[in-house]
Amino acid sequence: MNLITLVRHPWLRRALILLATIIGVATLGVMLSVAYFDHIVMDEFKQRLWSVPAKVYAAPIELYAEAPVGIEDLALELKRLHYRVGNPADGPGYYRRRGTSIELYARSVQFLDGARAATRVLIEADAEHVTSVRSADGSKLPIFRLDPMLVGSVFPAHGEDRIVLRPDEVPPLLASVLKAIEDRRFDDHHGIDFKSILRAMWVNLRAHRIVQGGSTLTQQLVKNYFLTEKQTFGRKWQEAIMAICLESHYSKEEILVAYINEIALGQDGERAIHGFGLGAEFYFGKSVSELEPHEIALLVAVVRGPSFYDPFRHPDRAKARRDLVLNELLAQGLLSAPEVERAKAQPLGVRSHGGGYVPAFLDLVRRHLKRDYQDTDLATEGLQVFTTLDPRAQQSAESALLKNLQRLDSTRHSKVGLQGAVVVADPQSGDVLAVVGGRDLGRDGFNRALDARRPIGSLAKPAVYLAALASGKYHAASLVEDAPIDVTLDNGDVWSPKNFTREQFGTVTLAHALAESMNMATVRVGMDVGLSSIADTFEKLGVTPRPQLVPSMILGTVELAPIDVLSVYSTLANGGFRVKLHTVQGLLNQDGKLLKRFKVELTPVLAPEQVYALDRLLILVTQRGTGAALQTRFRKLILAGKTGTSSDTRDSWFAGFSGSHVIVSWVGYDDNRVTGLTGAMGALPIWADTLSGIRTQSFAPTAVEGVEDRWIEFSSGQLTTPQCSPDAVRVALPADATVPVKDTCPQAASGNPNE
Amino acid sequence: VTTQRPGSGAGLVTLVLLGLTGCAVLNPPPPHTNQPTPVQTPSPSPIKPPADKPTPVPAAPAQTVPEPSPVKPVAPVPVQAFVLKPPLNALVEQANAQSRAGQLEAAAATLDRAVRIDPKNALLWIELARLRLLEADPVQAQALARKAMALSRQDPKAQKDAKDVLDAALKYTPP
Repeated sequence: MNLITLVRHPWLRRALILLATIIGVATLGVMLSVAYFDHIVMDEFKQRLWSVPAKVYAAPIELYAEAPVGIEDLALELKRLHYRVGNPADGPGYYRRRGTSIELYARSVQFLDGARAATRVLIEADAEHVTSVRSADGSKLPIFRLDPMLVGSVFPAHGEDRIVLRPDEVPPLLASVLKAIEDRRFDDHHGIDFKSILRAMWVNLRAHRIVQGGSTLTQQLVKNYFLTEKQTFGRKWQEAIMAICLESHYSKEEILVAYINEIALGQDGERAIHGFGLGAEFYFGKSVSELEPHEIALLVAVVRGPSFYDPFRHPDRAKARRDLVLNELLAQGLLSAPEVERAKAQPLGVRSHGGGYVPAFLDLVRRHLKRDYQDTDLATEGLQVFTTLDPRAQQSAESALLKNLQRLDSTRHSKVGLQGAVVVADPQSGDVLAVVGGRDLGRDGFNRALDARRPIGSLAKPAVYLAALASGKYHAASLVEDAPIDVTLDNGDVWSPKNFTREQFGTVTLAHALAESMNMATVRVGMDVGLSSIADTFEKLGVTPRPQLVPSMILGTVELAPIDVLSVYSTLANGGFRVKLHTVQGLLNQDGKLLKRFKVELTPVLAPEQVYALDRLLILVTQRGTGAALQTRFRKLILAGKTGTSSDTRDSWFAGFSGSHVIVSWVGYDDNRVTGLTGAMGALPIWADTLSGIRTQSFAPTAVEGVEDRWIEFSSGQLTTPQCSPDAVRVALPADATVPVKDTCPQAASGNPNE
Repeated sequence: VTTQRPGSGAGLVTLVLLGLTGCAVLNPPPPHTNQPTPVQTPSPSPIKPPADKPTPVPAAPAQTVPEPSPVKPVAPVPVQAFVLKPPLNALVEQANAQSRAGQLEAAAATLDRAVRIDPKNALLWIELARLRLLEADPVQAQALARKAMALSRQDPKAQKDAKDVLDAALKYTPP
């Protein structure tokens, strides 16, 4: 029987047609699936290739004669900006220090208001200040800005954060190490590497488990796009098809750079660390161009399993794999034997966890930008965001909070740790300089600085005293009674506030009542001037919504977040001008074109003479009152502020200002339990430590018309002089006030205490 | 402040003491780094005590009284003129050049830099207020001019300049 007669066989013919149909359908299926996968992977690749998250920069440091930047500050700053010690003649990015002078070749850089070409400068500074700035030819430069420091990307899409590198920014060694370790035939294959798949199958068969993968870089890239660990055949098929598709459309360089920007390198709380640009920052605090061989080896080692080889949690494992990578580099001739020996002798060199990443500040940036920008714009359009962040203030606030919470926890018998928040601003410009939202630094999480709305306790008293001063019935030397008072509430209940210390002070001056935060005296004053005028004052200070008119408002049942308190105290520090607190100076688009600038905005809301008089009283708080620890600590600085403690010590607050900084600190438990800490015990030391790490100025309020500075006796309120009375304090009195003169000090009747 | 004198017949004694102590009881406050440079200090004019009166006893010599150190005097010295130091001067000149070239945004950014460096300098707030007027923002121009006025009580020239900008802002009509 020949073949033809066989085909004529009806059942056989049917079988053949069926077979042909099956093959046809299968081929069509494969073609369709290839087309489909091609479409998906190309979409994803294009989107990723062109999607550049917004880069966020801190405020640049200004250098000029007398600028408050000491020589050590400057050296540290250059290190943070990734400048390298070397010969500045070698090119931008190098500096050389000789004693108190630094010769710097500053890189070309983009500022909000324009670009600066690479510039050579010579800066001299003593321990505290810059003394001179000159250009390379020796001529004086009146002012010079350092580069703005990159602090992160503002809006990681799907929790992924990355610093996108351009092809020319990829160090050649990184590219070759990646290929050597992950995909030796990368330059030759078309997306999948059959040889290495067969080798991996052989190795796995012999080991009876999966010990080796045969994935190319291209396959890994595809896998990373669609993030799944499932190793099914279908998944592998899809991955292989997609890899071949990618290779057919894009060059090897494009794929390698995409890989370098894409691959997951670790996890930082909610934030996923992607790409070698951010990886270098995250693990080493360096830019990728400055990585040394042992650091490149570690990053490439981590690629294989970012959580398994986490250098923070499993340093031994990470180091073993790094050294394995280094050995392989020697075997493949990428590094010489001495180079490998040197690299292996290096410690891992990862920096302390979290440092440098400022999620709480970025959170506020995001909220400020939300009004004007879509999330997707911020995540993909390559915007450059210039912020008001002062990395020095941020670091000072972070370490102040950590140090003090650890100390306070150690004296407490609670299984749960205390929490806290610190915010710092420049009260004149409204620049927010630092935000610490809790003790888990560097982690995105509950941002207490913005979202923990808590009763402000005695931080409310300045509003009460402002209303009292504005009423014309009271001034600093007025005598008030600190004695029990019963207030009948609307529902018929009787409220009888007590002092925190349970003492009663009797007849005291208004100045003394505020300095010692006397509750009974304050309630008497507050009830006398009226709840609605106090609520008005709160409103003028920017508190929204307007507080309810209940007597307990006088003692601070108003609930505010630290950032809101910061705004209130900025107005007090700013002569009654309310400033709009902001974190963003402006934005540039990807091409460096200005998109938007946020200006300094002021509103005069309170009479300057009343604010001046109140500020004098707030200075007394830090000299004679509940904040007197500040006087002891900062002898040369004049500071103003107020302690706050909410009912039963659930919240410990301190809010206050120097001449150039306003700071608010808060301590409490997340579940709102009692802390046993007053404002002076909990929040004040954090406030003080934050301030001590910042170069700041004395608070020197400008004298205003309508009030005069006079010495009064703190206890009696009589006019006196420091020579007559050891407890003479300086206050501002209305020009038309009538005040008794101390018997034994008749000379006090005369004018200005300066004369 | 008017004074209420306890007891009687203290008037003359007060006057005498005033004369004796009026000029040099207190040390001047330490200079603040951020305060403008004083150009002119008015000399105090003490009232001379009548020659026939003996020196009154209560005028305790300064050294016998313990120094009340916790209170630090902070009031600024009267009549101070603001100056622009070289870095600020450079920025203001740059802002003016940018403003003349019609680059108001750039000028504003430059002035913001200056204000961040020396926020208590009334001259910078005056410049900023002027620029807001050019930017057709009279509300902010007024607020900034008021800020400059509040800062320049001891500098009549700056005070007048600030007042002029304020007046211009109040009279502002959109072009």
